[in-house]
Amino acid sequence: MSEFRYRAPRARQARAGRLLGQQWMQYVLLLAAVVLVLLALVMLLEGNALGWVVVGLTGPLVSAAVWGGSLRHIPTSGGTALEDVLETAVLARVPKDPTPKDFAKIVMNLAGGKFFASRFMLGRDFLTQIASDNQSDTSRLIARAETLRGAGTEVTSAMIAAALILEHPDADQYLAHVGLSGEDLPAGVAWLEHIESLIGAYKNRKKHPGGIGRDWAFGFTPLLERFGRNLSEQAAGGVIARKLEARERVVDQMMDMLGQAGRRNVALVGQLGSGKTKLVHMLAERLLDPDTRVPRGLAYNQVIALDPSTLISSAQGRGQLEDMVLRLCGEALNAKNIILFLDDAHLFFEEGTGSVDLSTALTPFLDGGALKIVLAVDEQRWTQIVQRNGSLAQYLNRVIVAPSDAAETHQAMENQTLLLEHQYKVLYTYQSLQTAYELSGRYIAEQVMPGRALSLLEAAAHASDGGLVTRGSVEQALEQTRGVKVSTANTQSERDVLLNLEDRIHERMINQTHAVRAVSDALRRARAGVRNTARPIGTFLFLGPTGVGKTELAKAIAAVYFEDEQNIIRLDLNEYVRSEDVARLIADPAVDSHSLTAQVSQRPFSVVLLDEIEKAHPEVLTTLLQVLDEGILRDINNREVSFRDCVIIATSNAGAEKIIQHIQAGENLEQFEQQFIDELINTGAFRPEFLNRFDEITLFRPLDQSELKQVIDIILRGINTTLASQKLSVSVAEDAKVRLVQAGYDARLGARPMRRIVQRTVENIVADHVLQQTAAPGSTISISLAEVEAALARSGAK
Amino acid sequence: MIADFLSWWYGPGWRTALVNVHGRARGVLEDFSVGLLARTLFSPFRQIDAGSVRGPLSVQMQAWFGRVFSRFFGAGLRSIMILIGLVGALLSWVFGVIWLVFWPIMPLLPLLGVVAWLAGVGI
Repeated sequence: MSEFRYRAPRARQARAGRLLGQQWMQYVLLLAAVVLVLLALVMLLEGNALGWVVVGLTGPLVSAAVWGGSLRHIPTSGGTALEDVLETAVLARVPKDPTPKDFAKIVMNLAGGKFFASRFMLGRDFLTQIASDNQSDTSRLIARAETLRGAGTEVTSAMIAAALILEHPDADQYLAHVGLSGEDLPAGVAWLEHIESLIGAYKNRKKHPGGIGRDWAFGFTPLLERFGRNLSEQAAGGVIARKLEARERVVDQMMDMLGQAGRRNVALVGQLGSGKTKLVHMLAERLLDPDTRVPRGLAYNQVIALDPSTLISSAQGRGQLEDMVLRLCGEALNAKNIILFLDDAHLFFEEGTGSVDLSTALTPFLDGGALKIVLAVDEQRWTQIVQRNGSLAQYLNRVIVAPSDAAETHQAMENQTLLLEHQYKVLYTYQSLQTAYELSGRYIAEQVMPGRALSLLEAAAHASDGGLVTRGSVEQALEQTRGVKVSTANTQSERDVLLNLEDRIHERMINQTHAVRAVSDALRRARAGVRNTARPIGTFLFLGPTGVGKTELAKAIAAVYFEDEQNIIRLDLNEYVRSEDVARLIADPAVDSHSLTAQVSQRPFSVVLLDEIEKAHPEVLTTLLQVLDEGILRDINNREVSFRDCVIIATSNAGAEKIIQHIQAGENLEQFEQQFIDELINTGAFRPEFLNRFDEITLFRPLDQSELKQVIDIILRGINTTLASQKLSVSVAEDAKVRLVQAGYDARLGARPMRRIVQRTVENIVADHVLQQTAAPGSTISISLAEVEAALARSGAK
Repeated sequence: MIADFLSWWYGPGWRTALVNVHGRARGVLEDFSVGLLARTLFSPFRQIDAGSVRGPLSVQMQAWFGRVFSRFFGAGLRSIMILIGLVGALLSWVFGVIWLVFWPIMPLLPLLGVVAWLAGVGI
């Protein structure tokens, strides 16, 4: 590209337009012209011929105002020189011999620079800070900006801003700092162009499409106005959405069906969130601004949505309701320009709360074909309608609405952000859109794209930070609404918890350091953002005898990492010993809310504890393999349920006796761990492919008596927590604790009997003190060995 | 700058003004729904009495008269609106043409004013 020609005609015009093109300047010029005309009139009426000179002065004023208006946007001249292709606003500000820094100073005050500063969170002065002030770099900058121009004719301020960033040697590093890459900048340029085109379309929209006589050939619709919602009126005042190609094809298909001679109806069938309702809004918009594709009979037709709950609340009894529906349909038919829209159409074809079966009243209209009607229904409900009323399905022209792809979803989000920004007075960053797409895909299973991304985007508006919707806002909105943790640890307290996980876990369980370390490492990896997100956070198989802390560790993880001990989904697999039990694992949530998939859908951020896994039927284990591998399980309705934010812990007592023998023989766990696992495979307790799916297979060793004494301490801490509400505490003498351990010790049962022993002794003694009122509030009940002995004797323990 | 202005004024500017005159007149026609009303000139006004009626001959005759009245009433009203629209478009076009005629004179007005002053033209 040649050097910038400061005196080129287009550059000169752009500079002139910078002053004359201002709106206020035009008002001033025209006002001055009016004043001069009036003045001249007075002078001429008084016989002063100088008035002609004054009249003459109005000519340049009006001409300047008209010219100025045309200079706001000077079309490109078709040339390839810099001054031929630059956007007018930029061109007007370019000095002689411009450097990249000059361009940075220019664009930072124009739409393109402001856009990247705010929506990409780069900061206002970022461009000027990174721009070179070497004039020889300018041609490379412009060449880079030109590559972003694509099929467009102008090099805009946004393209220059993007080029300034891309030209910097450390661009990748800067962008990575705000969670972006170089590929995101062209997307930003396209987004700004889209916003500007929408604003342009909004400014140029027709206030009353079709003119004042538009509806004179069509009937009055008082009943529909009362009970329906006119989507066309909403479309007329709204922002014109970008034409999404695949969606436009569906709208064309709808128009063909509604404009044909036969049955003029459409049943939009698609999953929740696929955009069925939006399609009907797009149809309403198209019909109000008819182009050549719109059949003449549909031009200026209006779409009116009916809501079953409004109808039900307005009618007394079924007879009146059916009569009302007949009258509404009749009114729509007679008006000749009405398209009825039944959103969530199943509500009109089934009995229930907020729904009513109106098939008897509606079927003749659908069968007859004269009434133009659009139904929207999700796939499952459609199947139910077809099963219940096969003939109804025959009368309807079904159109499948597929979920949108990534590009379309982003376009839909870009459309929606403008409305949301207006509604919630916020500004969405580019990163927030990316995050909404990514996270909604992972966590919002009940909807498909684009609905899932749009709903998360809207929720994020409530979590904005000073009016700015960022990646963090989206993560926060998801965490609040779904109970999942998706953000990386970013507060000091959170980091402290993660770095000291082992200590926190050991506050409630004794020893088993190997297992605790393995689990803690997995959790730290997850919260530091370095784990494989296509798998569960961690998958562990805990092997060992009863009462050694396997379940306790699972509970500790739920309490420490998932912030509540209740965040644990526990399945006793000894209840899944038949092949038919697989169905119970993946049952429909509506049928069995305790199925594994139903519970994980409800609480995707939990510990999944699969107890006694060795007892499960092989087919149950095969089903669970997929969960361990991919973190995904499909329920009976073929809906994906994500386990990718779960910690999956399977426990087993298989080979427990062997572990006890090894430990009693004085061996360490590490010495016989592998040999033990091999034995489990050889004896057929587990298949190797199953064991290989776990991140860690951890052996729990039996607790010795000194460790059981620590367990007693933990149990006593729990009792003291309970007693705190009565301002009491309890302390047990050391020799008494040793006695308690001796009384409860059983190598096969581990720590399990300890709680029972403490209950029978310590808790009973405390209960006696409380009832006999021998323990005053604020006092400590001290329990001696003698008291423990007495309590043991009373309970008949050894 | 003056050269730029003059080359625009007597070139693309004038052409744009001509296009705008047509655009404005067409806009007036659209605002008054002239094309739409002309196409539906004899349709029943707001579909009043438009439906077919079954029953004895007297009822059918009454409905037929109602329908004919609705059509003629509609045609009358539409014709008035079409007329208003056409007059509006015509006025817009006339003003537009005047504007186009004045267009080339506009930059020369100071010169003409001086001439008129010197000539002592009065009103």
